[in-house]
Amino acid sequence: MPKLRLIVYQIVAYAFFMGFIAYFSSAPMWKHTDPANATVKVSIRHPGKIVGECRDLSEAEMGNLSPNMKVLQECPRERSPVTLNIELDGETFFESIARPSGLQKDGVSTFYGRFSVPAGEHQIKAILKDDVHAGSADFEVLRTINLSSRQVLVIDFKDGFIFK
Amino acid sequence: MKSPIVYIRQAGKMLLNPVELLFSKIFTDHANPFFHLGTLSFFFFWIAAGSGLYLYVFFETSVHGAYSSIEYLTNEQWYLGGIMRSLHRYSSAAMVVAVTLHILREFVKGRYQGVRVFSWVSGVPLLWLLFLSAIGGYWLVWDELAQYIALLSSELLDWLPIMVDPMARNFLNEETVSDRLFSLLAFLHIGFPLALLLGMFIHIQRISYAKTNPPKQLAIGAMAALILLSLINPAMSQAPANLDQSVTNVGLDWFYLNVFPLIEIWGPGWVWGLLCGISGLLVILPWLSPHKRKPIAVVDPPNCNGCAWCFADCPYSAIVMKVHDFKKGHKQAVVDPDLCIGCGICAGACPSSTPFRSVDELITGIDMPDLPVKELLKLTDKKAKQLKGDKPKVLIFGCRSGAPTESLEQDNVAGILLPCVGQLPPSFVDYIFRNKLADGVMVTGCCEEDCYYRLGNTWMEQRFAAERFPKLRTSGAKRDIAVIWAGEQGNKQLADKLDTYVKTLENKGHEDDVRFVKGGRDA
Repeated sequence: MPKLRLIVYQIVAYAFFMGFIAYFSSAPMWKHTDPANATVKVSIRHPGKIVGECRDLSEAEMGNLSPNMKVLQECPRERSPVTLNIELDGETFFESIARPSGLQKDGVSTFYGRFSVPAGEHQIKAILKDDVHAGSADFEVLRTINLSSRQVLVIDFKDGFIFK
Repeated sequence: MKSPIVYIRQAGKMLLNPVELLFSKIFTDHANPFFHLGTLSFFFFWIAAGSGLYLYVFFETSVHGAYSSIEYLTNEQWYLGGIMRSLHRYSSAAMVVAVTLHILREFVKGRYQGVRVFSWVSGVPLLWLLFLSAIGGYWLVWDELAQYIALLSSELLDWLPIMVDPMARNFLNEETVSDRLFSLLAFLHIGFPLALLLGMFIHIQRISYAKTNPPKQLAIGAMAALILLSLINPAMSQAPANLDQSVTNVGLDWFYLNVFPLIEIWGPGWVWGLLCGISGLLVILPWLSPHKRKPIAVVDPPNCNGCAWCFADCPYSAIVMKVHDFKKGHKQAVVDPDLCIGCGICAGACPSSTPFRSVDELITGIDMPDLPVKELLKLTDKKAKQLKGDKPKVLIFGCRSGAPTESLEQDNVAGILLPCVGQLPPSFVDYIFRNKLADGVMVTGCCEEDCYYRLGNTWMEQRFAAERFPKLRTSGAKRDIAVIWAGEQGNKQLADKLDTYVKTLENKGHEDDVRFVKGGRDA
């Protein structure tokens, strides 16, 4: 093959390769969320209540403890699982039970979820239970929120629900 | 019954071979990009590393500084910083294309089993490091694309039960992102490529004379093309990240970020399954289809003088030299059976593999049990005796991975197939010419730069050119030998070359006639 023709073919090959790289480096576009929608992120870390109750140690039990480890009470470490229920406009939107983290089940319980919802006015009702004992008080909130398109609403919890 | 993998490889070969042939015609065998995918990967890595160093000088590791510093480089300093940024991005994309083709090609050509298992398996973690390096780079720009992959990456990682606090909590809204994140990301974006480089170094440890640079012609072409692309279509950022607003449409780099849409469609669990499944499959692939190990080289200490030519020529560093068993002051070759691929290049390199030795039985210092040099000599004599007719008589030495020579056999042409043409001691060619067993000798094998055993054709050419031991000695042999690297697809080309060669030999006697023929697949 004549040299000039070879060079032309090589240029074509390079052009094809570079065109391939250039195109797929940023195209085709990927639609992540609908531009008309808003995003609700549920992200909560909350430790449940301690499951058991502290117990006074007997004389004999205290006698078995080394002098620098003496305590009057023994308290369990296990925490309650945390239950989270969120309703959007009367329909269950997020429902989950998070077990406490850690081998001793004494860590925090965490929730995470990301949802795309239509922009506009919504009524959000959230209930969080952090104690397995019957009759314990739940955290509950009912809030009307107006979401604009592409807005990100974060539902968090710290001594009560936080919408930000 | 054949393994399904063998059929997949055959189908792959049917697709790949015509493309390779086309590229050989355009670029020549010497600079065919398909024969240099590994070295091209190295080359693109170095471009990405060099351009990345420049970018790092200007990069600000803060939430607001990250985006603005990249924008400054792209727009204000487009003539250098912008080109560097584009080179960084496009060379990375070119690298993943080269690496993907490299993996596919080695699989299709069956170059991943036996001795090659180490290189194959050690390449699998490199894929993870390559993708982690690239994905980390996209975070640093902190545009909407970075926001998208930050969110999806954290959700992917959060699926694994390793962290108490979800990583995604760091990307809830603008308040949760801190400048420290960018220091960490910059550290990772340097750390992963360094680990990748170390892995690439390990990847080529089991092969000798490993090439890490593509031919100059290819390097210049690829570099020029990347620079031109950077000028024509510079890499740009998308809108700045804003975690208070969701990302809608995003321009993805489909080379590196193709997994992110899958996270959305399938969920993180299936994506982890896919990624680990592909990696696991790649790791066990060498053992999924039968691999027949070739007999390994055997050393005969009484005939080994410790010259170390076999040690120098072994393509897989399977030969080491130790103190000779009984020859004082001499060394002796030792073959590592785990590393020997059974190519026979060592037997071709051994100075004792010569038919001119005055011995009752031709036993060489190092030899192949399946085709010992003494059997090769008998075969050469036998084939030479079969040559007849008025036309110039030609003996062809070919290799089993190259073009088949059987179809070329005629009254005046006979062929001998070796596992690798590198097994042919050059003294055999001297022997044929000196004893007038044939008028010409043609040596053929894999394409230039694509020897199945890596170095067979390279060493043969150097031996014939008297640049490497053992050298071709007789002037007649140097003049009348034809060396054609036709490759496995080169039947027709080889037949044409043979025809030309025979005609050239017919014209013997003309003073101006240069009869040395060397070539590959013609452009």
